[in-house]
Amino acid sequence: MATFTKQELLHIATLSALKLEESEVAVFTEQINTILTYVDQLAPVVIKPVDQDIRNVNVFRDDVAVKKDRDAVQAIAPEVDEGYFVVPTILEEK
Amino acid sequence: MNPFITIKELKLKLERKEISAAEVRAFYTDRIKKFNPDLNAVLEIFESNESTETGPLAGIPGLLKDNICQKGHITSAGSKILANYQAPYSATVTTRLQEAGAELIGRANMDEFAMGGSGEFSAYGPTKNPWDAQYIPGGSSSGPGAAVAAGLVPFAIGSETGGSVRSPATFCNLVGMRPTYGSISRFGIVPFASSLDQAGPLTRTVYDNALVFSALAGKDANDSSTLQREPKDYTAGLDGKLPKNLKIGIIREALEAEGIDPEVRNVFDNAVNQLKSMGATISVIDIPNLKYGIALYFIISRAEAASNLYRYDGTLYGVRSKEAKTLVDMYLNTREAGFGTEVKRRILVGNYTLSAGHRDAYYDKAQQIRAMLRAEFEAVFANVDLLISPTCPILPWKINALIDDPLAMWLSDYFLVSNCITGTPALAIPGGFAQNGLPIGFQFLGPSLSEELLYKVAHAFQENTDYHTKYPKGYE
Repeated sequence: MATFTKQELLHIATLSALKLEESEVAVFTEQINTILTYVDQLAPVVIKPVDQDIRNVNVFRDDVAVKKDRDAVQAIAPEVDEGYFVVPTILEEK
Repeated sequence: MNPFITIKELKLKLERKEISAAEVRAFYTDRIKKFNPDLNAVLEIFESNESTETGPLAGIPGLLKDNICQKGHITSAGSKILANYQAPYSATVTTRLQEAGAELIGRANMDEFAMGGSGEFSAYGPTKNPWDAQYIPGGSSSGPGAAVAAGLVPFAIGSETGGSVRSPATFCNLVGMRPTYGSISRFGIVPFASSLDQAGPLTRTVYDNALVFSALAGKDANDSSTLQREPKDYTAGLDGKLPKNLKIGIIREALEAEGIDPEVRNVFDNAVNQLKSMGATISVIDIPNLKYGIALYFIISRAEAASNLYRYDGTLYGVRSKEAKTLVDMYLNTREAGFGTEVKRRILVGNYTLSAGHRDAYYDKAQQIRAMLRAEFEAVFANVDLLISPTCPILPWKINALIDDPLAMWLSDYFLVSNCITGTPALAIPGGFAQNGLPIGFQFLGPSLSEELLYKVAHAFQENTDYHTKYPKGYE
């Protein structure tokens, strides 16, 4: 069932914010095809309704403001300026 | 001092003041300096200690896997992308150990973002197996495993998503616990797959493991998925005896699986016979959906990893690529420079199984079968108290032997992943040795919250066998 193409890989790489080297494209396409062929064994499994004994309950914390140390967090940031995180240009000029 | 001393014995020495905590710390620190260049198990040694001086682990040195935050220290998760990440807070695992008095003396190597079962995928170089440095130590908690096995530290904390504590336990002749999901807080542990991740201790004996687990388990306000477990001393019930009328099941599907090494099978059969001779009743049971464990694990873990790892983009912390004119370039270049091949491959598979047009067939279907598998496990535990299986179907392999065959490497997790999917606990312990001298382990699997029973049975096994007393040569 699985035929994972180079085009799909490039599309998924874009969605994943990953750049791929030319050498990686062929290798990943083949390896991911192998993996997807393996997991295709799940396709024919007939799903039976399971009587699940769900014991999970919602967990809430007290709704109170907690003071966090901004300086400690920003001390490890790549670039900050007067309390702001600095990033490169977001929109390119036309 | 014998570097392979158990925590239990070391505690006595400290209590009798035969040795001081500072001397113990210096002893193990010196050993790391001496042996680590060959093993690459430890990434950093800490000079200072922030623990209390009393508690059940007072003065006992330990190492934490590099994905567990220790305030003020680098926590890189074995990745270049977090090479400069200095944790601004401590994980709950860290603070609980410090409150118990443990001396946390460093951070241990690991496969990048805990992705790997061999220890070959750290950005800081592969970890070697102390039993034979040509071989992998197992992973992803490779450093914790190799360090405890070589007597560089009496215990270490690893983490499991799909067997990453039990794999190095098995390949390094150690005890490794994968507790019930929600037993140990995930707060401050770098996430891989959030519905599967659990930390667990690596030690030389079952008693030591129970002792460390006692300090870790329990509810944490910072992790809403933790269970309401009252603090308990898990060593209390360790009397060296099996419980009366103990029923242990062998999973038929596991025994009939292809590719089990005859030496692994032999160790397993010996363990079963040993337990029989100690009074356990053994029966063969069926878990038909067990055969889908690896496929389910592939899909669920990759999907959750792809989501979790999207956060590493160079904006708030970690290493940012300097070569970027725009924000999107910064994301792409940062991730390109920061992630290794295995991590990229998993992100790609994960996002594919979550993407439009594929989610129903992969991710949603996997979650439905996961529920069926969980129900099968629950049904089995109505008839037997515990299950027993090999831990890894094959022996440790030589470094680089499977590096170009990721599927083969992942299939070696066959026995490890199913209980991670169902959220139930398993305890791996030493069971013997292969002809080449490398260790072979096996594991007990139990129902949810059966850690006490797992420890009791495994401890009784160790009281009647001596595999766990063997140490690798050259580290005396």
